[in-house]
Amino acid sequence: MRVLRVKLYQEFACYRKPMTYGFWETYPLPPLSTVKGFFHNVVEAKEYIPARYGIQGKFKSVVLDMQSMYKFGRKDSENKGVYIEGFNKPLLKSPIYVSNLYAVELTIYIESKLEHLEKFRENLLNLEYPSLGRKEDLVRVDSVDMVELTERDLFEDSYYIKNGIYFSKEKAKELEVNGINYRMNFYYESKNGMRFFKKKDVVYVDNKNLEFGSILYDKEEDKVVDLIGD
Amino acid sequence: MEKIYLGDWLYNAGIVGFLRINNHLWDVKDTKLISKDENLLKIEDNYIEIDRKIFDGFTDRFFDYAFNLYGRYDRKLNRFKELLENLNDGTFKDVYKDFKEEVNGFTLLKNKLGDIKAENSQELKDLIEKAIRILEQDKEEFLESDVQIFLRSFNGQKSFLNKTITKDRKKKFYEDFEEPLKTDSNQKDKKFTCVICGERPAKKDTNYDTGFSPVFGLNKDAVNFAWNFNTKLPSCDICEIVYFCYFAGLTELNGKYYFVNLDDSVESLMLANNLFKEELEKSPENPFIDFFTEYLLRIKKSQAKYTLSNINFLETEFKETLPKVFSFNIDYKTAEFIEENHENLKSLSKSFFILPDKTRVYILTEFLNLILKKDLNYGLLYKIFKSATQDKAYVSNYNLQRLIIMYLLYKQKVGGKEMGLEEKSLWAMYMQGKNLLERLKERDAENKIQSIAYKLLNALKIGDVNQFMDVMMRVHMAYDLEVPGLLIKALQDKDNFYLLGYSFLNGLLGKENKLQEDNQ
Ligand SMILES: [Zn+2]
Repeated sequence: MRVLRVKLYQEFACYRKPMTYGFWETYPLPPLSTVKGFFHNVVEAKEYIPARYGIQGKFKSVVLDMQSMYKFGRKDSENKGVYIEGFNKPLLKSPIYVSNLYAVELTIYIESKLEHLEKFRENLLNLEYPSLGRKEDLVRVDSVDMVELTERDLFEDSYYIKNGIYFSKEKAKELEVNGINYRMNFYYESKNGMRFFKKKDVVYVDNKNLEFGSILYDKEEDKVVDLIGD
Repeated sequence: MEKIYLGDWLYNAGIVGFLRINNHLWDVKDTKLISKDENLLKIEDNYIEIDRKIFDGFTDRFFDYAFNLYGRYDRKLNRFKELLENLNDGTFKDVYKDFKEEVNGFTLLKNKLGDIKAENSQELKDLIEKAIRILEQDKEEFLESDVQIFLRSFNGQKSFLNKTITKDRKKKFYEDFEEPLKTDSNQKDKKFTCVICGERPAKKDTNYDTGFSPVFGLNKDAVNFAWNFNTKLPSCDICEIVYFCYFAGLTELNGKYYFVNLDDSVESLMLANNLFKEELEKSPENPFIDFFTEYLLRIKKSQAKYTLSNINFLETEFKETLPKVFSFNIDYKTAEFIEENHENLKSLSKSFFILPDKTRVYILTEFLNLILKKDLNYGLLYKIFKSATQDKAYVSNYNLQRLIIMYLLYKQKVGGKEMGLEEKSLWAMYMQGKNLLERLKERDAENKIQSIAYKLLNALKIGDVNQFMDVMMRVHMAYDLEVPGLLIKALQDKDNFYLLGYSFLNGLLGKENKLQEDNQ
């Protein structure tokens, strides 16, 4: 199977969990919706492009950081701050906690129509400041290659996972591995000015020996790959 | 059945709280969280599943839990009984003053008591007795009022917490929550799905905002925090009640509330918070490191190393809207080291030594502390051996050797140091120390051990390789033993020197000092 393999590096990254406000918690790897959004952005998609994503990587540590954010406050607030005309609200400084992953090395596999993958590759290398996660989480693109994945029989040829990887819940079951279960946003539909997310169950695993079932394999990088998406 | 998935920390606290409020439905057996009635409650990896029948009787459980947590009622009642016992003509003035202080700020009681006037101890006795009588007779009313006061600081003024509700709060809670939750009869918002779970339709006019919790960080004005500047975030009735339960997931200490957040599973989350509660009660001075030590000993191997590097402690006081967040910032390699050495760490759990001022120092706690602070120095080994020479270290030679080996593994793994040493080199050195010990015994020179050990320890303390070598040469020659060849490595590198040196010393001190075996 031909897929696109993208290798990225981020000095810091926060893959913020939804619904976290005063304390931005992070996933250990970019969630599906983030990677999907990244893909759509880079190919300048006008509409939804069906694709599957394999997300894996590692980081050196999780660092807690305090940041000052601007947020709108109440008009009658004592601390007036800067008044923003159009919104009829003052802008106030407010501290928040952010969990940051430090020194993140990501390998992302994307399977989609060839034309999209080619466009993605071309655009990504031309982009000046691509980011993944928050706007400020810039990525360094280390490589973008079309690669061939083959099926690896784990009964015959077991594989030891050393880095973090997301498996779909179904794949995790087949491989008989457990890890951290996340119910993760995948894509959203806009309705009545709001986003409604479809969710997917994934399992994060970062140290296991795989001995059951079979899985896609990238021989060049010695990485197993699970593609999640539509 | 309704599914409730783990989410942000506050929601997770809600799940823990919900389970605690319904503690008749589950049990902990051998660190397993088990449902007692799977028709009402199922506990899965990252979610719980409930039948709406679980809400039957929820009002009472909810109020009782909050009432006990607040604890003011019992405290006052006991205090009044105490005052009554201490009261006599001589103590009248003091007791009177204390009594007035106790009643002040307890508005409901004050109103019921009327005039607090007492001219003498008899009148005061009647008054205190009256207060006790009122508390006991109107307990239900006090319960409702206290719960309202208490929960306002967690949830603001929603529903039964609203200032205008001055009686029948339980009834209000029953009508607003228990009944519609039980029968699934909340009015649904036709347009919206709940933004929190993404599963259930939203409850009409129910928004995810500060109305759920002031510590939440999103108020209705902070529109730039929300997508498309829309802070109207519809929520379903189940997610709403989960947030309402978060107070019960927190652990209180001196007016501050704590929550341990991690991603692993509902079970891990629940057990971690129960453990934190225990540790907080045991040692309020340093609960984090004590918790962590104990946590490591108890958990089964965790699901992923990521969990170890991502345990967060949240502390909230309600004075500010934002909770404080603490984390250990364990890097990935350290987490991996801790995981790989779980058994070795566990073996040290009961070992300690005693300082001259008689305080006990637990070796495992100290070792972990150094690792978490990224300051693993040899001072700890020195202190342990110093106490060992004075017969005040309660750790077996074997476990002590495992500790020295963990130093080596740590330096290699986390420090990334190429040391040219292996575990077996350290065991070999340990055996060399034992050989010397045997030889000294053969030659009836056991009385020399203390002074040799002392000299070696001193050299290790100040990191003096030459002095150490000097002692080693002399002793080995004097007793016709070959000087261990491994010592060459000690000359090459300071870390090697300490590790080989302490291993040797450990062997030498062998049985001579009654290092006690751990009862594992
Ligand atoms: Zn919901």
